Amino acid sequence: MEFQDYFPVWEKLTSVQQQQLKGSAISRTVKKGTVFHNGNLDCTGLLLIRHGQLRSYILSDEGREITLYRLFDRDICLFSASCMMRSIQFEMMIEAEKDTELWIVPAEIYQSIMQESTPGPIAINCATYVGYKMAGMTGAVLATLGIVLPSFVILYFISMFLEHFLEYQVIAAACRGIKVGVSLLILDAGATMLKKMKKKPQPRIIAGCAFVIMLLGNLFSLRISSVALMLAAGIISLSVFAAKSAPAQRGGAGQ
Amino acid sequence: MIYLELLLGFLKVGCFTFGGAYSAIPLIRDVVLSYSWLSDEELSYMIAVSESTPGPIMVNLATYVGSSQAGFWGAVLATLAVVLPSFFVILLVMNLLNGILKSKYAQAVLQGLKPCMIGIILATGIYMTLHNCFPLAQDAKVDFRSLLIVVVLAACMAVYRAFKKKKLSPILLIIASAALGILIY
Repeated sequence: MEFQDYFPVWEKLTSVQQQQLKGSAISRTVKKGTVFHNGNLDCTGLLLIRHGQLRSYILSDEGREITLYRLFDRDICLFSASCMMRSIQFEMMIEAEKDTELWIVPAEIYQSIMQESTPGPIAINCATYVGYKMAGMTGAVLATLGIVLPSFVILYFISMFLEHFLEYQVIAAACRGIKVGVSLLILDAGATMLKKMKKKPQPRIIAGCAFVIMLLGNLFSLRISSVALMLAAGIISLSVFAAKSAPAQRGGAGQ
Repeated sequence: MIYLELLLGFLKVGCFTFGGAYSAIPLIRDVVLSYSWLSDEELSYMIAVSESTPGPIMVNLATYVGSSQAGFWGAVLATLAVVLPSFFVILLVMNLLNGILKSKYAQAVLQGLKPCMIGIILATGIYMTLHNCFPLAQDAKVDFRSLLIVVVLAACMAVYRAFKKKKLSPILLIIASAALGILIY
C-alpha cells in the first residue's frame, strides 16, 4: 500500500500539498518494546502504521499503566492528530508491541495544510463541517452556534464592565503592559508566517510591497484598506499565473 | 445605520481572514478605524481582552466591538457577520465547490493573498510596537517604560525559545506583560 492510499482525502489535496505531505513524511522502524513517544514531549507528528502494533497508554497516579488503545496495520493515530490542535494535549506514551514500521508526518506540515484549506478560524470550520456531516444543515447551524456562544457570552459581559475596570489604576497599568505584549505577539505571528512562506521571488515581492504600503499608510495616517490590498494581490497573482500559462496553452493547441 | 455598518464591516473581516487568528487583527483594526468606532488605544485594550479570554480572537473581537457600539444586538450582528462567511464557505466546499478550491486559478489567487497577508501582519505588528514606544502625538516623548517592556518581553521570548525549543504560549506572554505593566507604570 502506498503512502497516499492512507488518506481518503488525498485526491482533494492540491498537488503542492500532496508533495508537502509526501516529501516530509519520515519512515521509521521501531523495535519491539521501545517507548517512542513519551508523555511530556511535544507532538511527535501524525503517525501512520504500515505494519506492526503500537500500544498507547497513560500512567495513573499510582504508576500503573492504563492502556488507551492499540494501533494495528494501516491505522492512523487519531490522538496524534488532535495534539496538533493546540491546547488538546494528552500526557500519553506510545510503545511498540511488535517490530513496527511507520510513517511520521511532522506536525507543522499537517497543521499548515489544515490551515490553508479554508478561511476562518479552524475551530469554527471544524464545527460547521462536523455538524453538517452528522445532522445536515440543522447540525451545521447548531454546531457553529455552539462553538461561538461561550466566547460571545463571556465577551459580552466583559464589554459591559471594562470601562469601569479601566478606572482602577492597577488594571489600567496591566492593560498598558498587555498592549505592548499583543503588538509583540502580532509581530511574532507575522515573522513565523514569513519563515514558512515559500522562498520564491513572487511571494517575496508581494509580501514586501504589502508590508511597505501598510507601514507607510500607518505612519502617515492614510487609510489604506487592507481588503483592497489583498484583492489587488490576488488579482496580480492571478494575472501573473494566466500570463505564464497562456503561451504554453497556445503551444499545446498548435500541435 | 450602525447595525448595517457592523454587519458589512465584519462580513468583510470574515471573508478575508486566511491563515489563523493573527491575520484577523489587522483586518479588524482596519475596519474599526475606518468607521471610527474606536480609537487605536481602545482597540488595543480590546485585543488584549480577546486574547486572554477563551474562543477565537476574531469572534471575541466582533462581539466586543459590536456590543460597545450598539449594545446586545450589535454584538449579535457583528458575531454572526464574522462567522457567516466561513460557515458558508465550508458548506459550499462540501457540496459543490469541491473542485474549485483545488483549481489552478483559485490557487493562483491564494498564492497572492497569503504573502500579502503576511506583509500586512508584519506592518501592523511593527507599527503597533513603534507606536507604543514613540507616540506620534504633539507633546510626545519617547515612552521609555513601554520600550522597557518591549525589551524585557522580547528577551523572555528569545530565551524561552532557545531553552525549551518551542514558543512561549500567548497566554503566558499576556500574563507576563500584564505583570510588567503593573510593575512599571
